[in-house]
Amino acid sequence: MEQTNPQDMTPEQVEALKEKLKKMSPEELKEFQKKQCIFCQMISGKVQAKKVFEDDKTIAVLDINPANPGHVLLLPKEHYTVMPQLPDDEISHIFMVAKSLSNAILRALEARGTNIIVANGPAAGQRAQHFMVHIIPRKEKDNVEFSLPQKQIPDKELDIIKDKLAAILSKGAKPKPENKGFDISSLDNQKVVEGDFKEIKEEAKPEEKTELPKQEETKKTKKQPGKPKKTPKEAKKSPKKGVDLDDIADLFGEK
Amino acid sequence: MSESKESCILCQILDGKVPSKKVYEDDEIIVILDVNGANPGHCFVMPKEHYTIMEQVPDHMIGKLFQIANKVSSAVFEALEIKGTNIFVTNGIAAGQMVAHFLINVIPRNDNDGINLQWQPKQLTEEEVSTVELQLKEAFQNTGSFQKTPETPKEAKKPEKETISDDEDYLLKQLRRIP
Repeated sequence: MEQTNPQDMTPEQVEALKEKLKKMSPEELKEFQKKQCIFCQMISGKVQAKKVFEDDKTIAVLDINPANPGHVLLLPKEHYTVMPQLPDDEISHIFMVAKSLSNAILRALEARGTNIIVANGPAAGQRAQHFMVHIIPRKEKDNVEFSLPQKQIPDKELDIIKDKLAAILSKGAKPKPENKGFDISSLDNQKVVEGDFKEIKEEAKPEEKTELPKQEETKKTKKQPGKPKKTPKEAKKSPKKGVDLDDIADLFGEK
Repeated sequence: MSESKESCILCQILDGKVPSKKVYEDDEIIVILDVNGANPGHCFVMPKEHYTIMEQVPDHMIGKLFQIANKVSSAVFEALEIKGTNIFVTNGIAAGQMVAHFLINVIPRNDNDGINLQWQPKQLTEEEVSTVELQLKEAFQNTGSFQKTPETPKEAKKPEKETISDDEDYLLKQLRRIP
């Protein structure tokens, strides 16, 4: 049954699977999710990925649908679906790694900034069933258009929310890491993830490599990705070794 | 960077000079509501100490900030009728950073709420991918040692500036060590 593609299942089979999932203990459920998870398969090496960093708890791979070149996905090796499920020490560790990777990206790719994004739940843009941190190198005019509207929120409403949040946070107790409302069940057979899977498989094919030399020649004339042409201004600002951090921080002072 | 601290709107909020809607505070971290949030319940999680970008924030503080961000994310989920949350950091003006004080956005999410944190995937050639793969592998080699506790005990909090520059020097040295 596990082998059946969820898209091909009859409604009866889907119902039967739902029933089966309901009866599972949390441990069994986690094990089941892990088996279905493409990123767990990446971590165990069953599926190939462009791994750029690994330690005992985390792994970082290149996103195959990057917002910019150098877009990195940082994942805990343990399977978690959403962030609230992670214990505090794992949160600390993974974001210390994220900071360090972001730092290295700024310098190595001469990026002018980075975005760190986590999406919890499909409504927030989560597409995979494995918790991950996106680290996205940014440059001016890179056609990445993240936008947060600035909404007019009545003061009364703000005060109500403030009191509610303050009350919950003062308890200090972490809400149970269940997924109520996040509706992560819909993540399990997301086509997007399947698409990723196929692409990775294709990437792993050795035949494609034979075509490389030909492509290389035509592209070299077009663009050298490793050494982007610097405008005189940029060259002044970033001497030799990537971007100076103070440079990025000081941008605020200049304005 | 000390002059930017005086002009920093968030530092003024911290000093109580500008009113704010505070939802959490401890000795190092404060969480306030964004009054013009992307959605009601949009929170800023920030260190009380002034740092402009993430790379300047000490490791142990990063760990703590994101732990709190995670709790705030759970709390907004418990308190509001929402379908998800985003944790979002803009690091540098090119990344959309608007305020010169490092902060973590915790954003409650619903379907069709007008927020866009999606991107159009860029098509890279195989050559471009392997170039960036090699660059990053090399650049990430020295990731691994973190300063998990504050360098100095709390009483001797004064030389914080030095902590930052030490950290930076260290990182620079690490970079130079790469052949």
